[in-house]
Parts: sequence; structure tokens; C-alpha cells
Amino acid sequence: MKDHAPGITRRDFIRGTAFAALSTTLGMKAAAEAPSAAAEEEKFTSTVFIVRDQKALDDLHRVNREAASEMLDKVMCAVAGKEDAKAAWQTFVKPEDTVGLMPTSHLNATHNEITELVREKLTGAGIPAKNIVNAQGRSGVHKTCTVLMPLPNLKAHWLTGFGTVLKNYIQLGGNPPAYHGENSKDLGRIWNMPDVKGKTKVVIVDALRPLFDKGPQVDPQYLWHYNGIIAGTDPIAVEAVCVKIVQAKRDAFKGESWPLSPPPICLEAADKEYHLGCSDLAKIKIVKMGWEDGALV
Amino acid sequence: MRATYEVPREVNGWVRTEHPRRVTAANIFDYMDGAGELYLAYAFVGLDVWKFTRAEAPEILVEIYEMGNSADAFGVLSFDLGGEEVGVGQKSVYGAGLLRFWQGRHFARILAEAETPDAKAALLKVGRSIASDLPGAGTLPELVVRLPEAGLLPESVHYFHRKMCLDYFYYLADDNILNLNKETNAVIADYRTASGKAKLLVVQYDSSDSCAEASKSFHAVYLRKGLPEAGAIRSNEIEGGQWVSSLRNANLLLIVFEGESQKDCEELLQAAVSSLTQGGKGL
Repeated sequence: MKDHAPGITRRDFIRGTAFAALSTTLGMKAAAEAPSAAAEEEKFTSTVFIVRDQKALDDLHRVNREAASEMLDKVMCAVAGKEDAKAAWQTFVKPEDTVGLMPTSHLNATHNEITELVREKLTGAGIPAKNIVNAQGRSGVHKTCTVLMPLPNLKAHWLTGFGTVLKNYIQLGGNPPAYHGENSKDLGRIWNMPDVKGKTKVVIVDALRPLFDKGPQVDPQYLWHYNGIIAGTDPIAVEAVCVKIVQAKRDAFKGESWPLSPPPICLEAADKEYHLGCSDLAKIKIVKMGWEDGALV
Repeated sequence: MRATYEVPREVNGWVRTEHPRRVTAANIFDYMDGAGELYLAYAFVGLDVWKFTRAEAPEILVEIYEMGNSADAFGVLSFDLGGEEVGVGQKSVYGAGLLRFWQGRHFARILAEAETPDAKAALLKVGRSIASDLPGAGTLPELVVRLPEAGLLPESVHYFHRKMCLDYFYYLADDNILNLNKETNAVIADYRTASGKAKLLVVQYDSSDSCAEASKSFHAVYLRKGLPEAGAIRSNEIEGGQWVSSLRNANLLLIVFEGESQKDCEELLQAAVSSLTQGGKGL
């Protein structure tokens, strides 16, 4: 018989003895604690910004480019703490930078309009067009970039539980299957690789039409119009808020607790083991702008 | 040998691409990075992909998956049985512009880029046409056929082999504590019970020894208990007032999770073992 070392089980999530913050986010804890006093302003270690616009998509799911452009400006001004959009983008990139855009390339891909708008905003902020490249994939382009800009689409993932911010860099690790299943815990390792570490200044998530189950292959019954863009400088905090939104949507869809499965253990590991940011929602300030109905956080 | 079937050239003004894109295990990740594992977790043989286009209308994507056996074609469909039965193939589900159906050794997935009345009518017509031309009727997996009917929530049935699938249906542990592999057959399903709901997992191993080994592993890691006798039900109350009960019968391991009472769990286990081994033949 295989000699099993007692590893992590579902019961650890229910007890909250492993991945406590994550099990709270997923609603798996048997006795969920009431929101703590940590919700006080001074206890926040990260801030995540959500902008939403009811007009961002039409009935055929087409992007309203004008609305999306305004949303991008608004959220970037908020993240940078600037009044002017151009100045906001310049907070994160300089004319001499080579910026690698990292959109989700296929299967519930980032909307082209978002990627193109980001490109336009960057050129408007003084980055030469030739210095803005698509760095997604295993081509090694990211190695020549001084800034990497994750532009993932918001989605659940059947193999890793979640597939948005952390998983956005999976191709940069060179061997995606090595980060699936239980190995997905180590997705954070990629962010600390020499050609990646320190290059991420801001994360922008396309949450216009997220997928709340069975990603990446799209089943449209699990897509919905959230009409949002989510951004922040702490990638793990952004991911944690995204997980919360998707988890809330799942529970609402079924009318009962429907935890993401498998649990996206990479989230808390990215915080505790790889020190990439904050995964504890109690320590994350969420700033919401625009359309409020159905914000889910 | 590849099956041959006809895909209509034109339906309601939508015209298909001339030739399909052929996807095999060797290049499936080029086609669907991050999703190919699902099909490889079953007996995947190959996939043909067509696109149907019409001016000013949503594109329709047609994917016909050829599997090594009909049980696994059903298994892929059972990844999600939620949706409207629209009478295509041996079983179909439709929702929000996606039609999925099972016919013999084939699983089909037909997706409209956006759901419109015209696109829905066209994709259903394409699906019916293909289904009527796909060869042979398949048989459901024995484990599925023999699930006890009383209380079964049919949309919750999932048939599978590998741990990665169980992780999605019901995450149990990081380690493969049930020793699942491509040779194990498994089904998981939700049931209504006297007190509420419970989840039944049945795993069929290649031998009673393999089953005992997996049972020992499960009890050691998940319940921190020793191996119970074959044929004896063991019930444990765990966190949150949930009950877990298990039973080993020859090469079958049956476990009920999330029962609201010991009685619920044990009644479901007894019904299951009776149904699965009826006639004394076992599986």
C-alpha cells in the first residue's frame, strides 16, 4: 500500500485549519466567523478597484468601446491616485519601458477592445508603439520586457479552481501542465522567476463577461454580464476579490453554497509561500465605482 | 479507424467550412490549452471542428469528439448534465447557445457565438442532422445504470475515472487518496434523503485487493481510522454535523458524503450496494 503522509483534505477546509482565508472566501468553513474588526481602514494592506458600467456590453455581448475607454481611465486614475488618466498610466510605465501585454489569448479570451484600448492608452501616455508587445505565450518575449501588464479575463477553471491573475503567467513558466491540479499551488513560483519578478506594476482584469464555472472551455450558461474592470497594484489582492465575486455568483446561481472546486489553493500559497501580495479579504479594501447593482462584493 | 458521418454544408443560411480541423491527443493543447485535460481524462481518440458562418449572424462552432467507447462519450457529457433536454442523440442538454449531446462513441458540442432565435434553430438543426448520421447506439456505464433511483437527482450524475475529475466534482484531498486512475470507473451523484441531501460516490476497482487498498488509504487520510471489515458500514460524524459513511463490497468502494444523519447515509449506502450488486453478479 502507498504510504500516505496525511496531506490536505476537504476536512481541513471545513475546519479552517488549512488555507483559512481561502476557505472563508469559498464559504467552506463549517462555522464561518463574523466579519472581524479588521474591516477598519487602518488594517487594510491592499486596495482593489472595481469600475462597472451598465452600458459596457449590449445584448449580443458586444463591447461598447466608449464606455470601456472611460472605465479604463476611471479605474487607472483610482489605482494611481491621479486626476488625469495620462498621468495615471505614466505612474506605472515610462517612455523607455518595453511593455508586455498579457491578455488571455483564447478560450474566454480577454476582449480585443480592452487590449487595444490599453495599447492606445499606453501610447497616449508616451510609450512608443514599437515598445508595446504581446508577451503572452511561451515565445520568451517577456524576457525583453521591462514591464509586464496582466490583462486576464475573469474566469473559473476546472483544473485549478480559478484561472485569472495568477494563471495569467502560466505560459511564462514554460511547462503549463506542471502547474495544473494539485501542482497549481505553485503558480506563484512563476511570478518570482528572474525574467518575471518585479515587472508587474499594475493588474487589469477584464470582468465584462466573466465565466463562473468550468473554464476555460466556455459554457455560456455560466457567463454573465458583470460589466466590470478590476484593477490594483497587488496581484494577489486583485485575484482574491475576483475569487470572491465568482464565488458569490456561483452561490447565487445555485441558491446554495457551491464552492469553487478544486479550491484555488494557489491564491493563499501566493501570499504565504511566495509573498506576492495579500489574499485575505479582511485586509483588502475594495473601492467600487459606477454601476452598483449586482456588484457581489 | 475513424467513423464517418455527414455534416450538412448549409443550414438556414449558415455555411460550414469546407474541411474540418482534426485535433488529436498530440495537438489538443494547441486547440484548447487548459481544457484538453478533460478529454484526455477519458478515452479520447480525436476531434473534428467545423465553423458555420452567415453574414451578420453569430458564428456556430461544431466540435465532434470521437471517444474510444460509449461509456466515456457519456462520461464527457456527464461533466455537466444541467440544461434542457432537446431530443438530440441519445441524450442532450441545451443552454444559452450551447448544445451538447452523446451518440454512441461520440460526444458533440455545438456553440453559437451568441444565442439568437435563428442561431438556436440552426444549431439544433445541425445537431439533429449530425446525430442521425453518427454510427451506433451506445450503452450507459454499468455504474450509472445501476445507481439506485429513489432520491437520485439525475442532473448531478458524473461518470469518470481520474482524480482530476473528482477534484472538480467533489474535491476530497490533495493526494490521490482513492487511488483513482484511468482504469478505475467511478460515479458520483446527489440524492435527496429523509433529512435533506447527500452525495454518493462509487468507485469500481480492478480487484477486491485494489479496492481494499484504496479503502485503507481513504480511512487513514480522510477519517484517520483503520480499515473496516469488508461488508461493514462505517459511519463517522465530521465537522459541521456532516456524516460520512463507507462500505466496501468486493471491488466496489461506496462512500456517502455530506449526509445530515447517520441513518440517511447508511440507508443510501444499503440501497446503493443492493442496486449495484443485484443478482449477486457484481460488476
